[in-house]
Amino acid sequence: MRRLALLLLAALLLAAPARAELPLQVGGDLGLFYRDEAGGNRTVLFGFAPRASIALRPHLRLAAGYLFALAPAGDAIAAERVQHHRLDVRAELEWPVRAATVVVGAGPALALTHATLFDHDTAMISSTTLRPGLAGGLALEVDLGKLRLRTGVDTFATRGRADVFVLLGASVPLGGAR
Amino acid sequence: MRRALLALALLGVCACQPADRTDHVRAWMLVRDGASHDYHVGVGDVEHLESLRELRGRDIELRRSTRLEDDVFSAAGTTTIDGGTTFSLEYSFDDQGNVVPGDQHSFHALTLYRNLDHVASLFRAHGHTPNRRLVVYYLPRYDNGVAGDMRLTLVDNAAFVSLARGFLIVPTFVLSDLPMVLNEGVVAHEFGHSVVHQEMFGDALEEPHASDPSDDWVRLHQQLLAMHEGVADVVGFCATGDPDFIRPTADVDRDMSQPRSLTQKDVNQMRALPPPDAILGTSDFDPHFQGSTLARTVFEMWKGEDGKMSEERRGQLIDATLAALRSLQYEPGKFSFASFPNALVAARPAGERKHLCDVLTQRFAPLASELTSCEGL
Repeated sequence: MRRLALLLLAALLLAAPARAELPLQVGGDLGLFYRDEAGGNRTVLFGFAPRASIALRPHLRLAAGYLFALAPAGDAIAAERVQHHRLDVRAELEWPVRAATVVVGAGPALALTHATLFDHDTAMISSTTLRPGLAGGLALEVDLGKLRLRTGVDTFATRGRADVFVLLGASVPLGGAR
Repeated sequence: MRRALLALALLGVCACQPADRTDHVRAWMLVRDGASHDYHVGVGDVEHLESLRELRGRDIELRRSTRLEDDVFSAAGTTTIDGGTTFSLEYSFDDQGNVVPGDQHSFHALTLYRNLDHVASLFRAHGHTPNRRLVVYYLPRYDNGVAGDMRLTLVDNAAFVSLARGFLIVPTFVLSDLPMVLNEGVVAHEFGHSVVHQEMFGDALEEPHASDPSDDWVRLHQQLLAMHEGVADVVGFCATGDPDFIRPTADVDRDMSQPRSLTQKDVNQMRALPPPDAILGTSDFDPHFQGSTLARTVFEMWKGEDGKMSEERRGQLIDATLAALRSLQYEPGKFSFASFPNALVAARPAGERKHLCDVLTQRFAPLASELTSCEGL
């Protein structure tokens, strides 16, 4: 059964027509950011990730993205509110599948965490940490005219952490088709 | 493009994780005021570290991604424990070199480590050395063969589990009160369970006959559980000096400074057998009420005329508690709920016993015949 599924996937990939390449796509993703915490558990936050990508050649593009999520965790006595920021640059490969496109990308990323410790709602101390890592993702994109919709999963891995972002997004082209 | 990638790589090299620290650090955490017992965010000492990043120290080690699984289908009813991986504290340093936890869980974990290490150090100073490093299972996955993932059934709690030789710390949803994991007294209470277990049963994973369904051992087990809770409350008090240490977390009537007498109904409850239709090995007996009565009695026995207890006197109570636990024999006919306070009296000089027995015989009247240390006083 597994072999059959793989054969089917290969056939779809080979049989689909190539889509028109557009030089610059800008848009954003919304989704659930599963943050890998110190204790190995995952905190679920809402994330927003604007992104842009530019076609380098057929089926290859360069993308840059920024992810933001806010964790207002804590209680009345002690709270640590954390902002999560992440910048990444990645190369993306596209595989057209009929009317959709499977996109796989990977590249370096930099995560910035800014935390503020509150004591009974009074800010006491803040800290900022930077963590380099690797970002990667798998998405399925569908073009509806000029609007490109996408859904997928992004990950960010660094020492002791592996965050996941399950996303739903859209983008539009800037500039004409090639 | 190449320059951008190079710049990013250089930034990555410069922005590595902060250096790990050992031995002693000063850190931002939740601290308790020794006089008012109020909690606030401040800088405290974290000691005996082998690794700050992994929150591993002389007596305590936090672990992440852990898992416990109850094999309800096996004859022995075994629990499988996956010890997970090393903890990964998120932190940085402020201008004074104090550790600043980088997120909520790191803040909780750092405070928890400090509190456990503090009470462990206190008991080391009085002659109790943990047989092995105690593991803290931080937010473990908890699976049951029938019910599946049961993590969400365990909330707002902390527990010592002898089978795991460690502590379970489960998610907290408390918003307006102090989470248990941050309550220094509650954490010391849980450490107290490990003290009781080691002093009475050494390195055994469970107390003897833990799953024995015979009437004698079921009754004994329930009285042991109640004693466990009482002694753990005493430990929580000794570590903090606050007889009502649980109140910042929950108002559950556990104030040791409020005396309470044991009734015959309380004794009957401890000695009652589970109903015939109860699931094998389970009981709905809650040992906390009788345990709190024991703790209140001990407080009343030990307190000064002003109703308070000095740090020196608390130290004497710790010594007497350890001596009493070591003398107990957990066997039918030799152990009951009265055994611990009885041994506590026996551990004190003769001149002190009259006062101790006056309180004990009053508060433990239904078990007066078992208070052999008070005979003739």
